[in-house]
Amino acid sequence: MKARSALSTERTSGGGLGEPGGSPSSNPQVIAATRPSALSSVVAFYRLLLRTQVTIPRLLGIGALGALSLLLGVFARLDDNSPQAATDAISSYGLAVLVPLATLWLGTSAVGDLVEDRLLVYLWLKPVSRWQLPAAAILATVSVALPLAALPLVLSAVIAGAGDVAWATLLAAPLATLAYAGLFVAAGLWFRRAVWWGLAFVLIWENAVAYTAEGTSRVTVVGWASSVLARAPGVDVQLQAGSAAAALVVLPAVAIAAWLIATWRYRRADID
Amino acid sequence: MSVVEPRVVADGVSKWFGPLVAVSDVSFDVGPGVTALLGPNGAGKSTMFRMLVGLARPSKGSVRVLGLDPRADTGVTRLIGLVPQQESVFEPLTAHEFVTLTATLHGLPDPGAAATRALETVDLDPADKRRLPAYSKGMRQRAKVAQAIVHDPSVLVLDEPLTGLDPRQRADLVGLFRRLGSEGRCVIVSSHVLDEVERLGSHVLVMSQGRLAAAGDFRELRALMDDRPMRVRVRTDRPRQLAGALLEAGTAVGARLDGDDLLELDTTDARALAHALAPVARDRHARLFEVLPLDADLEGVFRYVVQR
Amino acid sequence: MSAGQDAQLFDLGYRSYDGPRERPARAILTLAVFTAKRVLGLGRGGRHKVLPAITLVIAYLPAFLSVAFSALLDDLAPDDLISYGAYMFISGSALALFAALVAPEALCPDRRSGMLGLYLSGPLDRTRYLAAKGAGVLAVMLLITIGPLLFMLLANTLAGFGPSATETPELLLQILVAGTSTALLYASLSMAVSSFTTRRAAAAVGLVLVVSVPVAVVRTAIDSAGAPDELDLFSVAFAAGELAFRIFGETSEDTEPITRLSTELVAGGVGAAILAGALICWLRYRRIEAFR
Repeated sequence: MKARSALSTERTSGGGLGEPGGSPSSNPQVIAATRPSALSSVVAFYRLLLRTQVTIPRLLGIGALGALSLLLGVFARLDDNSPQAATDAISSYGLAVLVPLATLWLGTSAVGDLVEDRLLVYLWLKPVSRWQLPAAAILATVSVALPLAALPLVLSAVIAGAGDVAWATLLAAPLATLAYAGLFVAAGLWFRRAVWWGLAFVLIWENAVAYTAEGTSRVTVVGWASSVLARAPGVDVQLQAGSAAAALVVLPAVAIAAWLIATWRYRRADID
Repeated sequence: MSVVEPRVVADGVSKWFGPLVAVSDVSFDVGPGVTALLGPNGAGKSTMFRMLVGLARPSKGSVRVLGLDPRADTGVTRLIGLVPQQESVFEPLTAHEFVTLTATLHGLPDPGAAATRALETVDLDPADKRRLPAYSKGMRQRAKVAQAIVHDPSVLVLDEPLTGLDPRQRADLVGLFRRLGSEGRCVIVSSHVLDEVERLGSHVLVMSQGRLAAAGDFRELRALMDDRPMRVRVRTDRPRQLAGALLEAGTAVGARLDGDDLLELDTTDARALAHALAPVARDRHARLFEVLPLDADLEGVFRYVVQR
Repeated sequence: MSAGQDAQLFDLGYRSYDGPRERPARAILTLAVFTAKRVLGLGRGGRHKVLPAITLVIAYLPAFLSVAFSALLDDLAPDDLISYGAYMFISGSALALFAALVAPEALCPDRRSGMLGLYLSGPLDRTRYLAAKGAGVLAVMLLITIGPLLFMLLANTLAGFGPSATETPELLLQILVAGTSTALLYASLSMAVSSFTTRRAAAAVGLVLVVSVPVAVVRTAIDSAGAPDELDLFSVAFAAGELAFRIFGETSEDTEPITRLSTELVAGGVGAAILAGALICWLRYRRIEAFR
């Protein structure tokens, strides 16, 4: 590759400014890695974004919301039809409110905060492929949202004594988290006020438009996630976009498509 | 082993944001050594810097760093170091973590050790456990410089690197930048502290209103400013007699007296004045105590260029 | 100063102002107007107007559609139109979205940028500052709580579906009361949430959580665990919607617990939420250090 041949003849050093008085042309050592490995740079991005995302207010806020779902599990257990009550709670609270809003808060801030604080420059000017930052952002968002938001939903179904619902939730909630994470990370890179656009998406699109007609739920994340939830036997779920098997393909595809769009956007953006 | 000389070439570069033209048709070729990019606020310096390192795409024209497009080729960023203007820092990180992150992303085999060396170079304690927001402005600035040099770049772009530093720290960093430049690196620095910039070197690029107003050695630029007479201050015991003689001879085109011993002369030929001053003083029995060019410094050049 | 017969030299340097000064109320009004304009993007570049414009469109859309249907469909009966109470109810999402834009924009940047300190160094103290900000936020919220209803009233009247001349003053009063109470509720809650953070994004998400989370929790508690219906007062958004129904003398088609509560209780719940939000905001701002 032209770039590599030009660079590989450059003077390099093994570890930065080492020898006083040295000059670029006199240092015979070639940089040990022309580029960092994809894994090491993704890990570096991931760890950075995890640290910037995981603040005490966010942990407490999302954790409290996740804990509320456990309370809902307790309430559902007291119902005559615990599995249905648990399903209703997971559907109306978990998939419609907790998972999208928690992921919104984390996903838009993963890169969005760096854009707002004008810190992206320190990550852009690096010899790494552009897909790595959005990928790390999605991974970091999912890493925090899963245990704090998605997992408590599963536990709430267990508390409610609805084992089948718990298994369905174990699949539905993480898939929804992944899809939302992709969408909101992309939004953080695309829009200046990404949170507001995300709220509009959640409030208007996912919670209002999704219910207007039978077909509209097919273009919502909550519709497909509910389809997975509906796999639990003996329960009714109001919103279903299609089969659970299709949802297993659609939701990850949404995340991948969002990641590709985020990468494209990041590659073309002017960095402030 | 052949080596590509560190060069930054801008060719007809323009950048506009809607109807606002931030940079207009700027061309220059900067090689090894220290080059200062000067200009008043809003001249387009930061926009130009962003295009030089690939952060922004030129609306027109091209930028080449080491012969490559920094926007298209992420690999060339390995040899570019940037100290950006913004003051914000990664709040959860210590200085060592911040610089180690940069070293890691540059693929250095021992990022921690490289970060330690870079921090020591800028006189920061690598073992300091305080996070960056707890640092003073000057310490944060030095941490930014450390992350810019940790990977031993060939091209260094420094946007206001002396901001927030006390005089001793500024002197230390100026010395560092001079050393980096003398080692064959291409160092481009912008600063409002003109007397510090003068100590970095004499090669300047001056931008004004988005355009390149001047380029080259500022002393040679001064000599080109023939539509503006140079001012020279002379302290003598016979200012009137000296002024009269020089004006009569045409060596000076203007004179101002200040007190009993101070004379300010305007001349369009500094060399002729320098040759004539001593003989004329001798003929007039005047003693010369001080002869000082008043606007041959960088500030004088800067003011002239941006006010045209 | 030197002077001949007619010549005078004037001192152009700094001079202190010794004339009359406006009252603090003027400062409050100025800041309120500035806040409202800033939130709507007025006096700023085009891109600052995009979000407010879109939010206004979303908020007014049901009204536009209702009016359009009544104009286009000849066989429409008055009962087929969206009632005023129902409008307040169905625009809940738009109200939350608008509030998530308005109050964070009004409060958070001042603390993040350090402007709060500048404001407090003048005639505004913390209470006056909050009063000004609250007035600005409320004025903007009234745009989408009262505005669409007035639009519908005008359109319905022109289309022949409107109230009679004797009924109009009462309806106007109902619109004013319902719109103001809803606007006060959202303004108060959103300012309370915004007082906890300097980031607009966090405040926006926080408001939506405050509005939406209690609904799910409370209703599950009532439906499944037999909790008392009064607990549904914590579903503040639905309480405001139900209050609007009662003000307009309408009956909600919903069967939610809030519909089974007395009007006094619903009004008291909404009032308590308004006061709680205002109090929380005021207490927070008393403790905030206003420097950067």
